[in-house]
Formats: sequence, C-alpha cells, structure tokens
Amino acid sequence: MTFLFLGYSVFWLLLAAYVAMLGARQRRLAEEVADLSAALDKGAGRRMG
Amino acid sequence: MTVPTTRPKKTAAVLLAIAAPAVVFAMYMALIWAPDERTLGTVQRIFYIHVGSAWNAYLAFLIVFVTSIGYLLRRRPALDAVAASAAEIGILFTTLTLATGSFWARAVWNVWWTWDPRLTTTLIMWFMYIAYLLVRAAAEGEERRGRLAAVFGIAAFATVPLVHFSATWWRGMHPNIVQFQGGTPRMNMDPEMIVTMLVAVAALTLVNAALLAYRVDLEHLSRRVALLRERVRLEVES
Repeated sequence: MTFLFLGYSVFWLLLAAYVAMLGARQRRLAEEVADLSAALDKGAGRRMG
Repeated sequence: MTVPTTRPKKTAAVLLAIAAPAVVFAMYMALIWAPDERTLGTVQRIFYIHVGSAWNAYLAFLIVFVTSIGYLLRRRPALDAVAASAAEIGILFTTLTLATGSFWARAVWNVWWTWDPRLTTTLIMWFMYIAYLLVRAAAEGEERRGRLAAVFGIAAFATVPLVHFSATWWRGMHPNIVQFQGGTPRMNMDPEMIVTMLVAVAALTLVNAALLAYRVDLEHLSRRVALLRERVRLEVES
C-alpha cells in the first residue's frame, strides 16, 4: 500500500512540476516579449520625431 | 508594431478540459474499480500509470521521428518546433515510467533498480533523448539546429523498438504482458484489468496531447522572442 501511494504521488508530483515549469517559462517569455516590444516602440518613436 | 501573442492558443485549454475528467475517471478505475491482482495485491495498480506513461513516451518519440523526417524533407520550422516539444514530453513520460517502475520493483522484487534488459534499454532511450535536447541547445543557427536535431531525432528512434522488444528478445525479470501463442497476441490478465489499462492509456494520451499543444505554443513564443531580440539588435546597430 505504501509503495502504491508513493508511486502515484511521485507520478502526479512530477507531472505537476513539469506543468509549473511550463507556466514559469510562459511568464518569462511573455515578460520578455513585452520588454522587447517596448524597446522597439521607443526606437520607432525616436525616429518619428 | 504588432505585439506577438503571449498566451497559449485554445487547443491546449480544450485538450486539458477533455483530459481532466478522463484522468479522474481513469484514476477511479485504476485505484477502486479494477480488481486486486491475486499474488501482487494492491501494488499491481501502479501498472496502469506505468504502462500509460510508457505508451506515451513511445508516442512522443514517434512524433519526434515523423516530424524530424518531415523537417528534413520540407524545412518547415513548425515541424522542428513540434519535434523539440515532443522530445521534452517524451523525456517526461520516460521519467514517469522509470519512477513508477522503480516503486513497483521495490515492492515486488525488493530492489529499486536492476539491470534488466527492459530497464536498461529504457534508461538508454532516456539518455538518447536528453542528448537530443543537448544537441538542440548546443547547435547555433535555426537552420543548422533544425537539421542536426532532425538527424539525431531519426537515429534516436531506434531505441524505441529496442525498449519494446527487449523483454521478448532477452530473458529478464520484467513482465511481458503481451505474449504470442501460435502467432496470436494474448494478454494474460483479467478483462477488467485490460479495460482499466486501456482507459488509463487513453486518458494519459489526452494529457500528452494537451501538454504537447501547450509546449508547441511556448516553442513558437520563444522563437518570436528570438526574432524580436534580433530586431532590437538591428535597431541599436542602425
């Protein structure tokens, strides 16, 4: 029973850890997109006027 | 300028919405509905997630194989993105297979690990796809990375049949659930156990599909980031 519990727990923990890692990666990329877009907009603004 | 989308598309969310109840149902069948195995007792129930994980690792690596061939033929970056994503998910499912198998082995064989042919070849497969990701990380230039990874992804797939048939080709301790009697495949299991195994495999395949859709979206997003970085660099230089 202990090994059954441990087996299922580790299974779901690893899966949840991977999903959390993907979520963190998505947030980091979204922030980077926002920063880079702002930098490009700033550069375009400088050229315009 | 247009800000690229930073939210994963609907496909992953829809697949997850289908996968979640399927997984709950599969867990009910695996932990409550399926009968206890006569000699192994309740610990045999690890089998359902173990087989589901192994099947999904094979499936993910098959996707790497097919999309790698596709990339070499058509050079479409989208195919390379799917291959990279599927390799990562295949590694996840192989990790789950090894981890759940280890708990089963400890309970039944009284060891966490043994150099049985099935276990050893699975470990080799795991290392091969970790090497695939390392090749991707080390290669420079999108075209070169895609080409190198595709060749590696095709070659690495040789480990999948090796793992699958290892229990038939070499004598080992790992149980072989499908046995051939007079050329006909037979499963020496209770019909309720077979149904539970198939439901668990189907539910985890849906999880696999949801993860793949999510991961592919992230791969596209990271390529957009690379593109934006390049534009900023050019802007700064001009």
